[in-house]
Amino acid sequence: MLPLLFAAATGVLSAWGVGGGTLLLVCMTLFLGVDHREAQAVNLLFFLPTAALGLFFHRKNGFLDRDAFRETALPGAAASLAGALIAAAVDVAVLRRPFGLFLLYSGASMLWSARKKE
Amino acid sequence: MVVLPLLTKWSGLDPRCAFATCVAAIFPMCCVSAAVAVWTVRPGWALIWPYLLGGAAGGLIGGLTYQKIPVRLLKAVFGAFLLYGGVRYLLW
Repeated sequence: MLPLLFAAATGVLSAWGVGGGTLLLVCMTLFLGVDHREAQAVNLLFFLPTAALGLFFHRKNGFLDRDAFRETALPGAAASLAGALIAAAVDVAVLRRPFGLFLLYSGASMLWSARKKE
Repeated sequence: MVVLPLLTKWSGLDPRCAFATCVAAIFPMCCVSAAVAVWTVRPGWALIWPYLLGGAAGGLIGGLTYQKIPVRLLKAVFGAFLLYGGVRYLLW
């Protein structure tokens, strides 16, 4: 029952585009005792029906920007493939610090912009 | 973590459209990654199905409620999530 509830709660966040998948990964490994590699695989599968249903309504409500999708989806897929190849060739620990700093900067600026009213 | 800041900062997309388009942009990447993960890890069906079912329910609820959620709340949740990710990458 717990996996179902965790998946439903984080599925809502995933459909909103606010990182539900990562939260589910943390819940699975820390609270449900799932092996990390299995959790990652299940996490990727979990995103497919979650995103498909969320996207159905986003499209219906006119929230999808086709140009931005075209500009990001293909380079994103190519970058993820390149990332997988790079990760296999270099010490990933080298990349952790600059990426962490990038996330801190993005998070701080996102929270800063959240202060402004819509 | 990467696509959304790109969409909001550099593409100048409306925040509500950016969050939704981000889900669409990540979808093909996840299809490829999921196929590779299933092929290499082969998780059991008994482990997978509660997450697929729960995720589908969450996706349905998330899609239906999305336009009622204030953009400020979306930004605050995602901003906190990015900070958490940043700290995690720097410390572990």
